Amino acid sequence: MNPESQIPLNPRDYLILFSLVSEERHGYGIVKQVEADSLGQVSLDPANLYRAVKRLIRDGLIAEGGKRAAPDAEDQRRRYYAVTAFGREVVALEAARLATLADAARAENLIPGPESRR
Amino acid sequence: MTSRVTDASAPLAVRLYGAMLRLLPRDFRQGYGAEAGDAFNDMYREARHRGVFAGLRLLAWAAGHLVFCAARERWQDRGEAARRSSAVPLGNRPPRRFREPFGMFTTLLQDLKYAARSSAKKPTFALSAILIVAVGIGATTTIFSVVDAVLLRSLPYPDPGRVILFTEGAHSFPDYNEWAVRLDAFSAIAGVWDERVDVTGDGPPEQVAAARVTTDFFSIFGATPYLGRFFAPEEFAGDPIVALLGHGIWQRRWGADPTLVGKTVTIDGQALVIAGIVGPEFQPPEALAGTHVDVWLPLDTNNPEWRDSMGFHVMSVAGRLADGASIDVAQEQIDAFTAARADEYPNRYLRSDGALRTVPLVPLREATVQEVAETLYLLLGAVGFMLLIACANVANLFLARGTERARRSPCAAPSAPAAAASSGRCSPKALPSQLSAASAASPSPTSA
Repeated sequence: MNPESQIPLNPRDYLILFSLVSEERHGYGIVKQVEADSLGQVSLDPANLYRAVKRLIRDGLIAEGGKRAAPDAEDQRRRYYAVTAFGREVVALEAARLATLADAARAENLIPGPESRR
Repeated sequence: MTSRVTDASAPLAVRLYGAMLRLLPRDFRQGYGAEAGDAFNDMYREARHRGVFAGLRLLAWAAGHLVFCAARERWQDRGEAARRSSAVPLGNRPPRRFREPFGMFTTLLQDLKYAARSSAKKPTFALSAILIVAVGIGATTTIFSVVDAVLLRSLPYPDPGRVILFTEGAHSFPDYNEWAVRLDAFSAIAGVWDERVDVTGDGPPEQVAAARVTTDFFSIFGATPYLGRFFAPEEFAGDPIVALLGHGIWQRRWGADPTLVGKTVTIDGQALVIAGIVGPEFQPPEALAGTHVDVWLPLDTNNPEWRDSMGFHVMSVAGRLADGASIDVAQEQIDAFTAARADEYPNRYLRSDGALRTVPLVPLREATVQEVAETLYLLLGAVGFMLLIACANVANLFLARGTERARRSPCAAPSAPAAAASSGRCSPKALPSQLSAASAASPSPTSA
C-alpha cells in the first residue's frame, strides 16, 4: 500500500494516530490523549471514536492489540490499539505536510516563527 | 461481551447510553459496542467528579453524536449493500414487481403521476408535509425499535426467569470454581470468556468473535446442536481439541457444508475438530457473550495457568436456579462465601471503605432490561404524541389545500359540466398525494 494515498488525513484521524505513536492505548486512553494533544479543542465521543477506529483498522493504519487490565479504569480489561508500521509512515508524512503548510504561513508572516524574525 | 453498560450496578446514564448503542448497525455493535460503552463509562465516571450537570451534559453530548454516528454507519452500510447488489448480473436479478402496469395499477400509476406533478408544482407544500411526517415517523420508529428489542421480546430460553446473572463485571477462575461446588441453590452455573480468534484456511483469514464456555453453558440455556454434538465432558480438560461453529460463519465461510462436522479447522493456529454447529435460533445473552458468536471453544477452569489467579477477572458468569431455590437463598449463599473469603483475603473481597465486595445476583431479564424500561416507555409515549401532532399538522395542510382545490376540481362541484372522471376517481386523486407524502417520509422496513 502506498502511504501517499492516505494523505491528507482528516484532522481527527491524524490526532488518533498521533496519540498511538508513543504507546498502545485503549479507547478512553485515546480520548484523553487526543484532548491533551489538541489543547482541549478536540473531544471524541465513544461512537465516533470507534467509527474512526474501525475505518483505521480497515485501512491498515492501526491494529488491535490484546485485552488487558487498564490501571486507569479500575483494572477492568480493555482492548488496546497500536499504530502499525504503515500507520506510522502515514502519520509522519501527514506531519511533514502540516509542517510545510506552517512554514509557508510563516513565510507570509501569518504566524510568528523563525521565518518572520529573519 | 462483558461491559459496564450491561452491568446492573452501573449508573443509569451509562446503562442508558448502553441501550442507545443498539441504534448502531449490528456488525458495528458487535465489533465495538461493548468497548464504546466502556469508554463512555470511563468518561462518565470522570465527568461525575465535576458534578451532576457535567454528567448530564456528557450524556446528552455523547448520545447526540451516537445518533448521528448510527445514522451515518447505517447509510454507509446501505450504500455498500447497494453496490454489492448492483454487481449481480442482470439475468440473476429478481423480477421487478409491477413492471407491467395493468388494471387498477394503471389508474394508480396515473394518480401517482398526478401527485408527483402537483407536488413538483408546489415543492414547499410537499416538502413541509414530508418533513413533518418524517420527523414523527422517524422518532416513533427509532424509539419503538429500541423498545421492541429491549423490552418486548422475551428471552428465548426455557424458563428464562430462573436464569440468574452474576453482576459486578467479570469474575476470576478461583471464585468460579468455588461457586460451582458450594452454591447449591443453583442447579448449574456457567462461565463465558469472550475473545476474538483468527480463523485461517478454507478462504481468507479473518478475526471472529469467540466464546470459551464451561461445561453447563448450553444446558443452562436449553440449546440443542443444529448439526453434530456439543462438547463432551472430557473435552473440557486441557487445551481445546474441538470447537463448535456458529450457524452464520458456517454458512458464510463453508457454504453450509454438512460434511464439515468431524473435519479440522485452523483456529488461532491450532487445528481443531469441528464437533458440531450451533443453530441460528440460539442467541447467547448479550451480558454473557455478546449476541453473536462465530466460534465456541471449551473452557478448562482448572487449567494451572489461571486456576489460582485471583486477579484475573475474565469470566462472565450465569446460573440456573435449582428447583425450589429462590434468588434470595442464592444471594445469601454467595454473600456467606464472600464474607468467608474476606477473612482470608481482605484486600480482594473488601472495598476501601471496609464494605464487603458482594456479587449481586440479578435475574437475566432484569440485568438485560435494567432500569431503562420506565424511561423507554415514557419516551415511546412522548414520541407517539409527537407523531399524533405531526399527523394533525399534515391533515391541516391538506385541508387548507383541499379548500383551494375545491374551487378548481369538477368532482368537488357535481353540478359542473362534463366531469372528466367517474366519481370513484375523485377521492383517489387526493389520496395518492397524501400517500406519496407519507411514503416519502417513512423509512423503509429494512432500516427500522
